[in-house]
Amino acid sequence: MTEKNNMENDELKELFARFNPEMTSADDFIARLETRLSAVEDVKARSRMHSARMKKAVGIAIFFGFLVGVVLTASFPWIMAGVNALLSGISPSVSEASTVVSWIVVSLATVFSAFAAYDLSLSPAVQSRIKSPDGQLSRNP
Amino acid sequence: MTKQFFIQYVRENQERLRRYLIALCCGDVAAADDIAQETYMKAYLTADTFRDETKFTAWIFRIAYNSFLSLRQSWHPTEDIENAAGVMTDEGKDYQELYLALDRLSEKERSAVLLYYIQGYAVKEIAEVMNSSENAVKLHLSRGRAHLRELLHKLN
Repeated sequence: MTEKNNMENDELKELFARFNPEMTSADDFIARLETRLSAVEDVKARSRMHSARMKKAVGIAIFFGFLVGVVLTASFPWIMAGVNALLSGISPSVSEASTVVSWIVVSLATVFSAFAAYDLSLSPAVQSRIKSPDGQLSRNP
Repeated sequence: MTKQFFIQYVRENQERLRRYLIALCCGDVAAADDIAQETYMKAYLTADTFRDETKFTAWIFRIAYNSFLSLRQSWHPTEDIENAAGVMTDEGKDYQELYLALDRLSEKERSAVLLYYIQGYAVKEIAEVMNSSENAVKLHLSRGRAHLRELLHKLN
């Protein structure tokens, strides 16, 4: 029985050793693969570039937000005086809230300038001046 | 892994993988080519995460087997083996019987038999490729061989 099994296994071994099916040409197969890999590389490069742009934009937004925040905080006494004058013109009782209103104005101005800097740094006009990580000028699709 | 290095690897190893896939797809060369392309694309995209270079080829075969499993739904059903034997054409008759017999094996039996005979893998390596236990592979291999022999005898 074992001998029969061995013989039959040898038959299968021989059968698969002879197995050499007709295939499409290796060059065509590799050329097709290379085309697909190039497309993937292209997508990966674009994705890297996009990610670098986003990081830059976030960096610029943080920088401008911080800068505007510092400038506005330093000018807080003048802002508060202005807000106070404005509110007392409306109603004397409302002018008590001038400190809170001034801080709200400073915060909103800081956040707005950070968002504006982020948007501006992603705009095509600015992007065309920023170099991509691979040293080439980036182009917007 | 650089693209050039990967292409060089593919150039040297594609034939074995494609032979395995053609047999796994029971002679459907176009489907085998598509799976091979898919396999190499997946491997290229995730090659950086793969650490054990000694098992790189086994890893590629594992991706190929998994890709085959996920694409198997599109396979067209073949005829009954008894009827098919009578309607074979001269063209490609060499492997027609083998393909028909392989088509009658379960995917696990077929893959185990092909990895054993075409790729020359040991049970442990087949288990890694198929993500099964060694005992399960031994079972698939022994059943696969028996079924294949029986089917080939029937066709002859």
